[in-house]
Formats: sequence, structure tokens, C-alpha cells
Amino acid sequence: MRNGDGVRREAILREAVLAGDEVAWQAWYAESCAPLERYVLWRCGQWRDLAEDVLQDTWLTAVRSIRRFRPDAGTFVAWLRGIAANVIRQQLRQQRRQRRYSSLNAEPAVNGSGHSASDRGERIARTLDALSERHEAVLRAKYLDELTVEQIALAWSESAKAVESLLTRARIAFREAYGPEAEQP
Amino acid sequence: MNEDDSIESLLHLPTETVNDVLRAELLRHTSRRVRWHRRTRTLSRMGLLAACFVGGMGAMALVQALSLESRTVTVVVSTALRPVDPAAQPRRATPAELELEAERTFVRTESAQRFREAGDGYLRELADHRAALRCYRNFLDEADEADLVVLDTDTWLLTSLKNARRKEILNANADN
Repeated sequence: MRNGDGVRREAILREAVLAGDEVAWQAWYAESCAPLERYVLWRCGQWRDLAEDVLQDTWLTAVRSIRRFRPDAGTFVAWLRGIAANVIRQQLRQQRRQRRYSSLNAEPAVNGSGHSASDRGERIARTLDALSERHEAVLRAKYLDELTVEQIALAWSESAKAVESLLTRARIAFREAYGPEAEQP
Repeated sequence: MNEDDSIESLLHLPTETVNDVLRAELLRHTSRRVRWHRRTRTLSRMGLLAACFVGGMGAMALVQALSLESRTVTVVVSTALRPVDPAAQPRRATPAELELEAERTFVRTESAQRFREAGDGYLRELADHRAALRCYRNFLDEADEADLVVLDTDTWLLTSLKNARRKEILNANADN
């Protein structure tokens, strides 16, 4: 739950940026940069190339549509994460289309190892994208934010048992969506 | 290795970070956009001011155009007073011509009208009382009884003649 000061502060920053205050933007960017990067890298299965493209599109979209950000509806970083998730979805869709097109026009490339870092990253990204919002959120809280079950329960105003159960279901969903390799890393 | 460990390895916390060059580049790009926000805000304010200015100018032009229209009326009046080429205007008949026309006309009312106009002409333009008297008498001879009523437009001579003629008729009726 956000406190009033946080909402007010981000509302002031938003107004300042809309008025063209570059210093306000630099401060906001500096404090939001690291959490967004961590999230994007995590969502992209640490596939750097995709993560960098996503970050670029996310920031440009954010600064273009800053007017749509509502401080009372959530934090700036949460809003950025929402944009990033959409950008990742678009990028993955685009890659799938390109792959389909290239497979029609060229011989299939044989990869020696079969699974490069990018393949693995892409699979993780696709799997996380396929999960429900709640499953993705609990996995994020556990693995990205490194919260304990008790801390998640407290933040979400739920019982630890419910969170534990949700975490188990989320792991199962992830494993099923990812495929057999999740069992043999 | 259990299943949780395998997922742990896939979803572990990122150790990599985005390079500083990209960060700086993104900050530069986004700051440029923020500057654009400022410019658009300034431009929109200027646009608003310009729109107000143009609106004011438009209103003034409209007011001026309206006042010009009334001036145009004045100009039309002065144009009407300007001397016009006599050849272009239809020539007005002289009293003598009107009298002649009245003599030649077979339609009684028309003949009466011409005699009256000729009488007016002789009296007002030429001050020829004799000719005027002649024409007015002819007019009264040709005119109906309704034309004996004195009108505001009648000349003094015609008024006198009308009154005299009415008396004559009244006397004649009384004798009969």
C-alpha cells in the first residue's frame, strides 16, 4: 500500500515532467532505472539483446505517454513494468512472425548446441508471458524481489498458507508452460 | 535436483546489468522528449495567444467592414448626385409636346393626364399662365367627376379651376 507522500511526490514529478522540467525527469529516471532493468532482464530470462530493445521501447513509450500515468493508481515503476510487459509481448510476437517468414524462405539453421542463451531467454520470456497475471506476480515477488512467503502475504494482505499454495501452483504452471527442459536445466 | 531448484535456476535474480552507455543514451533520448513537452506547451500557449490575437483582429475587421457598408450607402447617394450624361437619360417631354400628345390620344383618361402634365409644365417651368389655363381646362373637360377633387399636388391655378368647375356643376344641377 502506498502512502500519501509517495503519491504526492510522483504527482509533482509528473506535472514537472509535463511542464518540461528536465531535472525532474533525470531524478525520476535515475531512481526508476535500476528496478525496471532488473524486471526486464528477469522477464527476458536474462537475454540481454531482447532486454535492451525492450528497455529502449519502454522508456520512449513512457516519456511519450507520461500524461496517462496516474500516481493514485500505482507507482511509476509499476506503470513502467506494465509498459515493459506489453513491449515484451509485442517483441516476441514480432520475432515469431519473422521466424515463420524466414523458415518459409530459407533452409532451417542447425544449431550445434541446440539451445543458446537467447533461446533459453526467449523460452523463459514466452513462458512468463503465458502465465496468468497472479502467477507471474507471485513468481516475481519470490524470485525478483526476493521476498519471503510471509512478506508477500503481508504485502498482499493474504495468509501465508494461501501465498504458499499460490506459489506452488505458479511453479507448476511455469513448468508446464516451459516444457520438459525445466526439469533438466 | 528437485523441480523447485530447476525453476530457481531459470528464474533466479539477474546478475547482469544493462550497460551504462545504454542508460545514458536512453536518458538523452527521453530528456529530448521532455524538452519537446516544454516546447509544445510553450507553443500551445503561443498558439492560444495568436488565436486570441487573430480573433480580435477578425472582430475588428468585421466591425470595420460593417461600418464600411454604411459608408457605401453614403457613396451611393453621392453617386446619384453626380451629373449624368444627358444623352444617356431619357429626354423629358416639353409642355408643348405633352399638349400635342394629349391632343392626339384617343384614350380619354390618358389624354386628361397629358393635358394636366402639360398645364403643370407651362405653369411651373415656363410661367405661361395662358397656356396652362388652356391645358387645365382641357384636362377638366376630359376628366371624370372624381378628378375634380382638389389634391395636395394640384397647382394654385388647377385648384381654382377645379373649385370653379364644381360650382358650375352644382349651379347647373340646382337650375335643373
